[in-house]
Amino acid sequence: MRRHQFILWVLTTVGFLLTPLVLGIYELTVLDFIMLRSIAVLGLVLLTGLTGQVSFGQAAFVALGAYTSGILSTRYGLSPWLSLVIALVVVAIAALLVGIPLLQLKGHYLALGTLALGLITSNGLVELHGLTGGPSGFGNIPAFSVFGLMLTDPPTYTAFLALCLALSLGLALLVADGRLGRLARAVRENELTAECLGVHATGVKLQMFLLAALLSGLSGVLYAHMVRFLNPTPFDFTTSVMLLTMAVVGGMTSPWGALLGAAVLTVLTEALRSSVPGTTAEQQVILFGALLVLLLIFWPQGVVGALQRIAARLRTGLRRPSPPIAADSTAQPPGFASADGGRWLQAFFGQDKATAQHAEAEKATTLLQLSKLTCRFGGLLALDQLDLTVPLGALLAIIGPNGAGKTTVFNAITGIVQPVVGTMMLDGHVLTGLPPYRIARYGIARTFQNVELFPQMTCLENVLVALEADAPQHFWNMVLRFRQTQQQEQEAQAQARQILAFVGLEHAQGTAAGDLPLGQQRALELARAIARRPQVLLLDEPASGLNPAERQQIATLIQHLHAQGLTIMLVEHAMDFVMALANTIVVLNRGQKIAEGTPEAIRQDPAVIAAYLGNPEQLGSLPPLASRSGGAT
Amino acid sequence: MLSITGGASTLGMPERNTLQMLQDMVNSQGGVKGPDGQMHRLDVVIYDDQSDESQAVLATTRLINQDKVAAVICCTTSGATMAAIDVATRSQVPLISLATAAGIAHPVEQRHWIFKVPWDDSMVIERILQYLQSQKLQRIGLLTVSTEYGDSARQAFESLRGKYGVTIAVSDRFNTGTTDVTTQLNRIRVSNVQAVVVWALPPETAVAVKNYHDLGMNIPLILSHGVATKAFIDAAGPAANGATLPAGKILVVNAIPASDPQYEALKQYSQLYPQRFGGPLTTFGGHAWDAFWIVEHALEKAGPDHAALRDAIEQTKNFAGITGVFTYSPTDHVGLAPDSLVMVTIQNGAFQLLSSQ
Amino acid sequence: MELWQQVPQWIISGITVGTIYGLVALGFVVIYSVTRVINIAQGEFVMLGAMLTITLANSLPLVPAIVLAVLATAAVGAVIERVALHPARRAATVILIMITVGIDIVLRGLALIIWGTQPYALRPFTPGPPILIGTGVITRQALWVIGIALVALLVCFGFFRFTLLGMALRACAANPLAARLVGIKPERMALLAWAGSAGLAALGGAVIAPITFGTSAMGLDLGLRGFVAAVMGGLESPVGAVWGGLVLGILESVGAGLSSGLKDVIAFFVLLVVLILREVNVTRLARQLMHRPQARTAGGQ
Repeated sequence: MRRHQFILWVLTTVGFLLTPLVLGIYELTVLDFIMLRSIAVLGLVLLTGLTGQVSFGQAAFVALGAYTSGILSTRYGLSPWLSLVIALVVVAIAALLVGIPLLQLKGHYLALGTLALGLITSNGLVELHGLTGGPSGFGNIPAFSVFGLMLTDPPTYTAFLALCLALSLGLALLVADGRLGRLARAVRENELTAECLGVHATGVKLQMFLLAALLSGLSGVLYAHMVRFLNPTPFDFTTSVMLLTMAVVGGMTSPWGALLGAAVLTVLTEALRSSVPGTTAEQQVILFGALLVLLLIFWPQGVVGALQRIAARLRTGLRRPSPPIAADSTAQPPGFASADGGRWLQAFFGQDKATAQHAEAEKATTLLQLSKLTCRFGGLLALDQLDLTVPLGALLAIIGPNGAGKTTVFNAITGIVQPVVGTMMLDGHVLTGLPPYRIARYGIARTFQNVELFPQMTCLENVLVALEADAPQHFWNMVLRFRQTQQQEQEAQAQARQILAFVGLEHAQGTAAGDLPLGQQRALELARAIARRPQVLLLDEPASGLNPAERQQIATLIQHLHAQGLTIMLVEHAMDFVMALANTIVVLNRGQKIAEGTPEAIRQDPAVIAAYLGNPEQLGSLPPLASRSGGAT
Repeated sequence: MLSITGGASTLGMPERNTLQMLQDMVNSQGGVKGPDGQMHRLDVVIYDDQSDESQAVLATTRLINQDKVAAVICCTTSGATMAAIDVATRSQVPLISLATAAGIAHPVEQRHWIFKVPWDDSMVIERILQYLQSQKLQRIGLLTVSTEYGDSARQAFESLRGKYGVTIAVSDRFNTGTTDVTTQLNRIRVSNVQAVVVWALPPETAVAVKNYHDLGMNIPLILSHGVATKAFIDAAGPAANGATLPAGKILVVNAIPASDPQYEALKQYSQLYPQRFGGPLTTFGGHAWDAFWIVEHALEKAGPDHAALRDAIEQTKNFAGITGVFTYSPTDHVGLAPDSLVMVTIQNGAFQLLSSQ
Repeated sequence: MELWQQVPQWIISGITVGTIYGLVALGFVVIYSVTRVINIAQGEFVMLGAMLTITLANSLPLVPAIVLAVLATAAVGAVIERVALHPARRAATVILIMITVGIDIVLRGLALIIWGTQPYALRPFTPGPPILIGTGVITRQALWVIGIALVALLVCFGFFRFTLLGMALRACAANPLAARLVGIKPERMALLAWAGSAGLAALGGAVIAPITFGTSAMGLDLGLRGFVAAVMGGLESPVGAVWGGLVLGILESVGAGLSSGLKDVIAFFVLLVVLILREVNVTRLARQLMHRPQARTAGGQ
């Protein structure tokens, strides 16, 4: 966690703990409710704000926590502390049972699924009389007690709640700022790309769902032992909506938004209760709704967003221009444009099991094998019984006219598209039918024709996601293995910086990826691919949209990577680019392979000329790279 | 603190209106004369709990700690009251409830500070059972709404019916906000019961009455005292004619003889409320009237000190209110008897007293 | 009476209630398919239609009252789109959904002030006793509901398929940028979608009111059920929406018949199952077909 977050956390905790000395009973009660709701909303910020999954059913988990703890401590006479623990366990189990199927649903279907969950729970509370006391509910729930001190009145309960909030907030901040938070944001911004980088998106979503459920459940338990009377009314759809509203109003991009949102809305309700003179309660409700709409229209980022904008403005105003990076700084690894680039790359790739994989793979010379690969989109046959063998260490280019199926090959290999017929094998492993993240973890990385970055994340974060995709942190490890986590974080960041420097983006590490010009975006994509330490690299039109100088740089980089022993497949239209780089060229037309061979052979192949390259007289002898711009028909 | 918006607003609004009206009336006559002989202005602070328990807790806390009220009149719904009881008891402030759940005033040992105005549901149900017995209706169908209102009625029916020789042959539920109970009514229609009891608030009861009519049913239909308002008759239309329900005397005020101890209070309220608000007379407004005067009389005797006020309230004897004649005691914080309820029937769009019942 | 003899009544009640849900769902689908917004306040349009009709019917004959109520509600829908949604059109979906929640609160509050809390009745369109079908009964108004829902559905279907405006709306739903390039203004389409959807819902409300009474709070429950029905039907298909409504209505009715308290639970539980089954079939397929732009243009690569 960054230092200023930590300081803020400490200040907030101390501040809340001191309030019983300063505020009256009424204000403390309001604060209690704010804190209760903040805890639940923290979960929502993590699930919806960070990971982008909309949930209308958080009230169900609040209810589950509240009722479990309430029933256990009244009917079965368990200590409230024990009931708390058991309730959280119950909530966790329920969240897993429900989350695993639900998180396969996307977007509004997930919203509906969680809505249904909320309604079923609400209904169950009313119907299961024997267990829950039905609509009348039950009371006499014991309060928490610490060493004989009963935590019932606002001053003591406020302090207790402040501690619980501090713990929850701390956990949320650790998660949001750490590896899991980064992966979650990647999933939110571009789930498919994240999967292609090896992120198990469903796993990440499930963790966040679990965390959100636990926080909601905790909120419920604390509520039950505070009001000490439970009935189904507070746990309905309106409550789920209210929690979501608090998240939005506060700002869903940061855990602080949870506190701010809960505070703003609770205080607003209280203030409107009787402050505007002459208004009746009915009018107050309308005011509330109208205010909500206005806030959402003009402040969709919520309070946190507004604060961040102000802070950013202050920062740019205050910041002195940073000194230019010394061109010959020896501490940094050289950019790929220099000759030293190869050596750094070797060191980087030598660092891990990729070499072991290489050693294994060297026993066979074929790395990737596609046989009878057929892909259909509706009535369109995109690939027709394609057979392709990619030898280890090849630099293979796929060319052909539009509609030939080139990108489809890539999509099939990476698992984005499932073939109707045919198989794919990577070094003895079957790839067919696997989801993209599994394929990525076998060592296949790709770039996309339309650059697919995580636009709101910084360049550094983009690379970090790629580095860390294989091993997401479980959120409990954030706390249990705190020091180790921090250390891993430092190392990862150092590595990521080196990679960025290698592709020449060191100066942009803090810039949002969406703000970069196209050439640098392509470089970032490549950096991300490199970070995967892949065996096979699929590059989809890496040169398109670039000027000659940029093309030269990309070509050099590809050559460096190839020299490392990477197997590279390339889809390109720029013929000079292709001819100069590739050692094998495959030509596709209408889903079928019409030619395969060395660049010279392909250049003269009449079928290829007829389908794609055009009149041989026009081509002449192609000069070496960097003197021509684009060349396709 | 009342439910002016939210699910229970049908009840909360007349309560609010009544309290405002009485506050103005008292203050226009100089206020409350305390035990010190001085006249004091009376302030009624009204908050809306939006039929939501968290709000109830917050608002009660505010009333007690910010506004420093002498007593709290709360709440319209049983759920909100239950949530607020804890606050009032801890702060040792007397609280008079306008809600019906039995758990509010029982067990009385734990409800030292809590009183209620409306009849216990068990009392109302006993009145219905008395009526059923007198009409020799022994097999009934019971349809209740799935809220604590319907629930507590169901429990009371089950535990009291034996005493009056009634069996519940068919028993069913429906949710608040439902738009159709034909299925449930049909089950009752096709079984062999002699009467059907529908226990819900006006919106759902209106639907049920309509479905009853559409199904062509003609066995005696008995409703809950929750629909004892003119608004219900307006909504249900001619389908409601012939239905019977227990109600406070306020509904048939014109038929109450002058010899009845509640006559004066009923007459006064039935003139003042429509004059100011134009709206119909309701039992709930009547509850608010009673709560107000009980507190006011206690204030006259004991002043605003919480403990003294509580004692004075508990000593209320034979106060003739709208709901009934109240006598509290250390063992009874409800203060009423079943005879404060009368059976009325709906004829030609109005409530009529069923005299001999 | 045996259980099986109650089934006809269950079906009848289910169809009656189901067409109501279907009408509400229809409105959801119209707004969603053009603007991608899930309008939580859709139920309030139904409420407005019912309450306005009831109020106007006190001084006007029935048909003009209904027409006026529908037009007024359509106007309200248009105003809402302009005032609350248009300024926020670039915001994330969550924000837009929340805005509709705020609108729902405002509309309900206004209705509470205007009409209070008690239920209001509207006389059925044609008087007369209910009709007996076997062991069940169906009211004449229920026949009206079913009839009008069918007509509304046909009109909707025809409108989207065969009229220029309908096609423009569908184009906007499919690809707003391309639509703009051919001269269609997505903003105007959004306005139309909201107005039309509100009017449709209002018609539903007017038709339902004689059966269910109008209360200022009737919107939320109806809206929720309509939402469920719309999603069951796929959120983009008017036909699916009405089918979804019917299925939901019948499920609820049968559930109530078997065990009344669990009525809601059964319906939503089945819904969850349906959704999950759908997901396994449909979306995985959809992923293969059209999830990313590259994959789509792969057909053209």
